[in-house]
Amino acid sequence: MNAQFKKGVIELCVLSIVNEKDCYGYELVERISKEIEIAEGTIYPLLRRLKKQGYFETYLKESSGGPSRKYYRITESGRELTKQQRREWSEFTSALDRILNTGEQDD
Amino acid sequence: MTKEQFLQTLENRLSGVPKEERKDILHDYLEHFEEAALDGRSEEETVRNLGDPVKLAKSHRMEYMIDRTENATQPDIRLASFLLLLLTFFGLSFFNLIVMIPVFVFLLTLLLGVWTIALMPLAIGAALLLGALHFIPLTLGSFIIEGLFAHLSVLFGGLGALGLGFLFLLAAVWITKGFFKAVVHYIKLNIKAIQPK
Repeated sequence: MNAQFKKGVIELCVLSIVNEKDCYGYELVERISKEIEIAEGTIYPLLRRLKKQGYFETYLKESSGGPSRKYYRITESGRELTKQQRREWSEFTSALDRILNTGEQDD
Repeated sequence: MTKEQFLQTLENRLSGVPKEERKDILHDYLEHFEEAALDGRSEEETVRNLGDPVKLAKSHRMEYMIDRTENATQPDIRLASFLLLLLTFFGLSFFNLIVMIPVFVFLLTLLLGVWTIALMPLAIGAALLLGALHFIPLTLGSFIIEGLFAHLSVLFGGLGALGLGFLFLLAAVWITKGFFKAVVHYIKLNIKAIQPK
């Protein structure tokens, strides 16, 4: 996949996953990298930015046997952003679909 | 590369980010290594999956400096952050170094032109005013009405130029602010396009 394309999509992936349920960093990275090939470390600058801009909050939680985990929780404005980005994404993909399908019919 | 080398490189390259934030960033990656180990991954594999620590550090530095530039309340801190951001940014890629620096310098020259144009009416206005004020007592003394009118028109001309100058000045400040905002915006767009893998 095109790198620039992927980068914008990763933000939406992170927002959607955390919107669903609170997550810790490694968990998020695992879920995304299972589906999309990325440099896993790039998720962390993104997480910090989303937190700084007030879309996420963090809290620490002990885990059994492992290190205490930093969990990310979505905020009200984070929910808004997710909704907005999802809407933009589906508008974009349906436009793309229309174009690709016309192309197919022409063949 | 080992886990220690990865973390060390990251830490070294995060100079310029305050200590607290640097520790926090490193802690995120340390936690990632621990979770990956529990998950049965080798250190080497985790390092490979994470990506280049030099590029990761750069992303963190840029995020930090953008935040500081946008949220600085004091103009001098804002300007310093902006210059640091530019410096880091131009180091990011060959394209930016070769293509964007001339473009940036060109825009900066234009900005200088805008300021020169803005300051000119102010200078002319001030000069006319000073000249008029200096001569009016003499004119009144000799009761030369025509001369008085001439000097009064110089006086009002000076005031007009001064007013125009202030308007231009406001416009110049506005354009300058817009310019800096646009550059930060451009850099942000580019960060989104930078993919270290």
